Amino acid sequence: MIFNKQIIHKSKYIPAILLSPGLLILTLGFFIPLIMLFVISFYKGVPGSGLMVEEFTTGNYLRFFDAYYIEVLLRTFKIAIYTTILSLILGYPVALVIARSSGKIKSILLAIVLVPLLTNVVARTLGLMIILGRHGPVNQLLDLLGVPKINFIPGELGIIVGLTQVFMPYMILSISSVLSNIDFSLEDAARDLGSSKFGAFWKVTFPLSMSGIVAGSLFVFLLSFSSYVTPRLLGGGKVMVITMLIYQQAMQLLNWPFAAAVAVILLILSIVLVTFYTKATTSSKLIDTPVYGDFQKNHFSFQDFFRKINDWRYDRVTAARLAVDVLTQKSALIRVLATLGLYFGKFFIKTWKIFIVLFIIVPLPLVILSSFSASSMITFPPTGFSIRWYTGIFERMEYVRSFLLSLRLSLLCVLISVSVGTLASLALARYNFRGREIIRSVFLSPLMLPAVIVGLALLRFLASIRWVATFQGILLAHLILTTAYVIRTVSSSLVGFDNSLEEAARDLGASAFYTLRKVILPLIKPGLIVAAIFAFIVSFDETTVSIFITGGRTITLPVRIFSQLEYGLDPTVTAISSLLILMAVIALFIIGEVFGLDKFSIK
Amino acid sequence: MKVKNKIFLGIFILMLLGMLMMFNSFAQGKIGEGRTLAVGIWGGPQEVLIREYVIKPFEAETGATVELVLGGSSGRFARLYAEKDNPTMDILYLGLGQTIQADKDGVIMPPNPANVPEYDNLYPQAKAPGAYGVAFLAVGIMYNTKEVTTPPTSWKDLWKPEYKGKVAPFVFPGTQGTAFLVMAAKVHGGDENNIDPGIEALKELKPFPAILSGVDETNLAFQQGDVWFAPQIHGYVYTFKAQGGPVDFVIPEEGAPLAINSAVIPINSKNVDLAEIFINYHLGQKAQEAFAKEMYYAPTNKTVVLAADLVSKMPYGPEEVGKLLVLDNKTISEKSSEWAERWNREILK
Repeated sequence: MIFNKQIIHKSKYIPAILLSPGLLILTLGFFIPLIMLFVISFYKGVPGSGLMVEEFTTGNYLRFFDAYYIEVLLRTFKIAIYTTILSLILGYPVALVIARSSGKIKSILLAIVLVPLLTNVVARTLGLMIILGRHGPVNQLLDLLGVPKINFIPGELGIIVGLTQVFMPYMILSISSVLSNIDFSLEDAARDLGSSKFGAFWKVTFPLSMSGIVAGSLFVFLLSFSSYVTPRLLGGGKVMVITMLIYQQAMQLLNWPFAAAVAVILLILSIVLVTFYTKATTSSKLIDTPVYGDFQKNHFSFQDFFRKINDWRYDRVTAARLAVDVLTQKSALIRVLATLGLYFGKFFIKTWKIFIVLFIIVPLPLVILSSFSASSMITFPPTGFSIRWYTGIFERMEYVRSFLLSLRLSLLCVLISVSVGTLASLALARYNFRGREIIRSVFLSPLMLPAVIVGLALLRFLASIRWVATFQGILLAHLILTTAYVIRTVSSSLVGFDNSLEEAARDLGASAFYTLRKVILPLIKPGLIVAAIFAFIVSFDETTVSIFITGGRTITLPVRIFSQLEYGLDPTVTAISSLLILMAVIALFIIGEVFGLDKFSIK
Repeated sequence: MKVKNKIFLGIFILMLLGMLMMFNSFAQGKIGEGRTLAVGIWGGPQEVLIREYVIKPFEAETGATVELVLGGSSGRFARLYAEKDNPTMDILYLGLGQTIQADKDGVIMPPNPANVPEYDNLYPQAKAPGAYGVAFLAVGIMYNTKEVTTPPTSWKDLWKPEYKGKVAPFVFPGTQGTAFLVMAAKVHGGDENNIDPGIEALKELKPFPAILSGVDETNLAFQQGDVWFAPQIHGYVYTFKAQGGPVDFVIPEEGAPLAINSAVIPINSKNVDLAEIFINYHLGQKAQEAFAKEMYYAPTNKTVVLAADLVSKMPYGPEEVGKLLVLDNKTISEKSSEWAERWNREILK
């Protein structure tokens, strides 16, 4: 492992001290709630009353194996699979362009991919609601082309397109980070040796990027499988997916035990997926290390498998090309048509990537555009110009209060999680102790599990200590997420850290604390700043978990926007969402200045 | 360079702390003054009217701050049960079936005429569900005047072959959705105790142009011609018509089910006293008149006087109120979770 050469300390109690604040938060906000959820899933529920009979039963699990619920599960799978495939097809070319470009163009492309990622998911879904609407721009374009309108929303199609739009950036980043490490001269070499442009790509670049494809696909699959906000809003509450089933059973039909059982089933499925994902990403990391023996050993079966598929595919392609060649010999007419087709094809190849990039970014400007509409109905194109929706925010003090609540929460989250998370990262990166890797994955686990499960589990736990819809309750929920982000970011900046500086400081008589303050912290400062920004955004934008645990006087801003959208499109919401988009752009600008966009990592 | 960095870091931390404290004190100055009453109600025009005619005088009188929690009633209804030991809202506005169920389950406070003097002036229908009825609504047929030349006269007209694919149901459970399902059953030989004909009839209406769940969504669907007919509350149709929407409202010959919006106070609310003052304002002449004028919501208070031109647009007065169809709401509330299951499985599918 990479870490081995860095570890210099062996101590039992120092890492324990460093880890304890983080573990305390995690135990309270994550483990106890999850255990409670597990226990509840074996209780008997009294539907409609919110009561539970504390009697052991496996009935909740058996109930799930009803044709209707299995269909819900399969539908969720189907949506996730289509989303993954679509993201791969659309995302790969963009990733390729990003990896091959450099300088300003690369930065701009990365920014386009990253801005949506940093924007609140509710605001992005609002953009999709506008764009995919029955009379939205997409359908207007189809109308113009004489194609019948498509009912994207509410429906499965809209959810798939929407989820693709929302999660494709992860696919792009995952693939482009692998592609960036590929030596493109290999492709040139293949071409020099007589391979076609397509052949060179297909036989050289594509197989090399396979690890990024696998990691990206699994990640997108996992995210779309467990997302709630986008399917809820784009499905109009009418397309039942598994996360919606959990929400409906828990929050509308009040059958807690059944909701808990479905959550446990989703949990198990997610753990299986996460295991696959970790396997795929850890083996992809090995590509960077120069130990080729390991590389071969670890990759043999995987690569071999994909190589076989590729060979097979390649044969098909050559056969098809041959057929086209034969056909074009047949007559001049066909030849003319083929040339024309090629011409249009070339034109399309030149422009279609632009369309994909537009697809990623366009919902955001559309929200901003709509927010200046004079009409109270959100239509496209917007009619008239007015800023009344912005001034309207201040007539509804709830939005302002929610904004202040979210701001206070996020700032506190930054302070607490950056300090707690940095301590834990130091322990994880610099001390050798038993169970270190397990503790690391334990810290990161809240990010990998579906937010609906975390939300439901926390709701039951907070209800039992009367913390539902309290500031401290929401803070606890956000802290488990932000601390995980901080640990991820700070750990990665500790990995590339030169230990000899620290040793030198200690040798020269500096105390441990002095060394921390004077040597370690300044060196990892960029990492800390990015971690702080991340923590802020994650807390400020957190929606799904918060939906479960907010209420009454303490409703965070994204939850308020979400409930408004659940009820219907509202122009005030477009104004607020525009401000959230602006916030994401600012955050990205800071990250870019401090860290450089191309070093941005999603893993 | 190092000193500069240190100063920068120091300023940054101070700013962070300062902001934190500033927002803390600012927020407290706004919310913490006296007490806060959290009220769950529907968004849209109701929100505007509540702010103007109830919250303004209420805040002026009590010095308390009102926090509105906007959304549909089903979310509120579930929270009423989930949070019954420690409610996060002090007043919830609910539909008829929900109010009856909540009253039956004992999760809401019984009406208290001693602190809500206007309660004694309510029509008996408004008191029946077990809380404070704030508005009478009639669920009839909303139709598209651009597309439909002969207005429907019966619920049965929606099953005419020429309208196939143009009739949109409302989500179930919900005021319009429930009324439509029961009326579909009734005109096809069933009733509250025999819902099968209703479920079968709704299946016949497929494919639905939309399954409606909100007012704006409904209005947009009518405006754009996707939907020709839908069950709807009279007030929403007349409001949209007044804004120039191509729609009108009819009360079919079989009758229009009466729906009642009620305000309920959860048991264990810590602000019952404030909640009662708030509700009394909502039941008073000013608020009731404003709701009638702006949304055509019929007053539940016998003493409320309306202008003559308004009266024709709503069930106003004991005689008109009495004409509305009162469904067997007790059976409906008992069966609704079973019907919801069937709605999910058989109609949504």
